[in-house]
Amino acid sequence: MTLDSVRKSLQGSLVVIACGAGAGMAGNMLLESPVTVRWISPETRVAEVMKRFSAKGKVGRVPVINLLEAKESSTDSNVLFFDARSRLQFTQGHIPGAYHLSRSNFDSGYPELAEAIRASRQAIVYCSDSGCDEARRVAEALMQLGHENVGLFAEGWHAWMLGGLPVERVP
Amino acid sequence: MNWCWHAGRILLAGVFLSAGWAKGSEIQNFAEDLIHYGLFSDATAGVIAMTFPGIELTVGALLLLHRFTDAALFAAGLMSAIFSMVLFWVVLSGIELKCGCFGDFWEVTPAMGLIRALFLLGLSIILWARLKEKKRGQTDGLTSLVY
Repeated sequence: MTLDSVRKSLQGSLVVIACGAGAGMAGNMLLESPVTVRWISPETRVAEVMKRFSAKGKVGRVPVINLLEAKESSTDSNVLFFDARSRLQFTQGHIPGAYHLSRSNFDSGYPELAEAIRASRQAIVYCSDSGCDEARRVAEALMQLGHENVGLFAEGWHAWMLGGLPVERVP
Repeated sequence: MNWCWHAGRILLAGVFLSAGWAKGSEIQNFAEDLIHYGLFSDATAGVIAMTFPGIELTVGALLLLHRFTDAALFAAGLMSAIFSMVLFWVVLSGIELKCGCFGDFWEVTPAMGLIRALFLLGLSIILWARLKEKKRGQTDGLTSLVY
């Protein structure tokens, strides 16, 4: 076996690899969900969204929680989530375990949930995103009713979805 | 070439075809598996995920069809060497992850994946060396005709 035969095989193999890479890229373009050169892994996507929505502070009197805190709280059975969007939006998808409590059903919904809110460690209210005002109104209403353990997930459903986090639907 | 060499060639072809098909049919999962190695950026993983299945399928097809076998065997050896180095690094690092080598249908630990990659590397080298010997024998035969 000579060095020359190795060189020739190497050259041939590079041609094969180049052709294969081209075929692979062409085949990838035909896929329903192809990978692109600007592909972003799910981990990076969640990290970016969390970084974007990590602002802390208060809206009115209500403490604001960020996406990371909301995500961690979603697995805590002592934390309750309240979806302040419309019934239809809630039905189409909400944070797992969340209750529907909006301005439109507050009168009827709150009395049933009052005891559970009192017993919980925290009650987190959210709506679509920071542009909606429904969650803040519900959260402030809960605080006026004497619940101190209320949090506002200001970036809401939009951030939750962008983060690729679990979704529960009403059948 | 004896039947043993052809059996090795077809085995190697089957392995590369199945690996390429498995990765290509779940390309997003393959890219995610690459990220877990901790060696590649998202963009690099994307490019590898785009190209590797095609390379494996091409190498496998050439080996199966017995066309450009010399180059295909060398490419198979190169790829197996790269897989071996990456998996060796993973085993040394003690990272617990899915190999991602054959999608989900032949999933093994990184250590088992390393053994498999080393076996494929050895098989590629043996088949390539035997092919070269045979070709040289044929050339020597022709040369002897001239003299």
